Amino acid sequence: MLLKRNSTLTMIMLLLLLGIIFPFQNCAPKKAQEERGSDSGLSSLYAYFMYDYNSKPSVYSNTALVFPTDSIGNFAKFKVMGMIAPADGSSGIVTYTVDVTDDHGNTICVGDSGTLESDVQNFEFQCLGTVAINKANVILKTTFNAQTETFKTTFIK
Amino acid sequence: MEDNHQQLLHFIPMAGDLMFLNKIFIILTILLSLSAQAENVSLIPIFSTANWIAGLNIPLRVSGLEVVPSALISFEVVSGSLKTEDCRFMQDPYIPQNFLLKCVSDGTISIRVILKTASTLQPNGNPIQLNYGPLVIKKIAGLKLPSPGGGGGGEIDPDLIAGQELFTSNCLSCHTKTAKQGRSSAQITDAITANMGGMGTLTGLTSLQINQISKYINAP
Repeated sequence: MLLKRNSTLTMIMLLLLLGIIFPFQNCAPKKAQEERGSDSGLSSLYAYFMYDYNSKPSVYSNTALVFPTDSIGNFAKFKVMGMIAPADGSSGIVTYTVDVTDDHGNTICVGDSGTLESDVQNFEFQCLGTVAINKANVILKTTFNAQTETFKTTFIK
Repeated sequence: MEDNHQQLLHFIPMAGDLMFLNKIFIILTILLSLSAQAENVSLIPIFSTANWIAGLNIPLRVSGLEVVPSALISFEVVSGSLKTEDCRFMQDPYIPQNFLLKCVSDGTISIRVILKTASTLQPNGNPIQLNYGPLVIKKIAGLKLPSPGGGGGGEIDPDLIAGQELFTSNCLSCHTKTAKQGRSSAQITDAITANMGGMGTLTGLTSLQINQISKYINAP
């Protein structure tokens, strides 16, 4: 009987050990994509993400530009798309303006402005620019909770 | 009768057994509370879209757990057509709760990240594993992606980057950024000189490096 009790206790101990170890399996640091390297490693990581904030971001944004594939005379339709969302994960109101300019700040395509709220986080518009444009800067200005941010993104055809 | 009495005695737990069973109950309760806590922690997308575009950032936020700065231990693509090398993952240095994911190719992915925690529910700082996905990442015909170096919200302070790295490698094992906010370079130097909490091992840090650490921990 004593032997039986001991084996039962051993089983319980083993099950407990398994219970402790199981939740933490695969928790050991892996070499895959370790993102904490040297200063230059961190800088290149920020460059990869184009993370240029120098203070706490109020919003995250993405912008993309579709260069025209066909033209009407000397003009062609560009398409600008973007997404903006509060960085705190809330669904507050974000106002924005978008300008499309050359390197000297001259408008090359009429921009857009608007308000995003609730679940709407996307904007998209088309504008007319000259066919010869091979490089454009999309300047996105956002305001959320009285904090204004400016994002300049360069696109090359 | 005597035999029956002896057999009955074997089934009555002794006082030592009762203490042992009590310990088992406590351990099981702790394990259950840990697993319940882990179930409530998740990665959620900040953009409410299902149309992810290759080459653009995918911001994600950890919900259900206060994330410490420099928490990322590892990131990997666990399934899908893309590989870990096709994507990268970073923690927002200003908002530790947020992370950015970016994949340069189109395809599907499910990711797994392992983060350090300092949650009160995990006082021993055990890492936590979070999964997210599957995500479908597409390419759009004719879409031009931003050119690197195109700029964003301004220039990031290089001292802040250096400070974060120094803090991670020298301080994070004992201190969180939030807990040490307000500490000046002089206070850090004094703590090293006085060997407070064994900080004497950091005498190799230069005054520039200490300034960078101070700048980082006092950044918003």
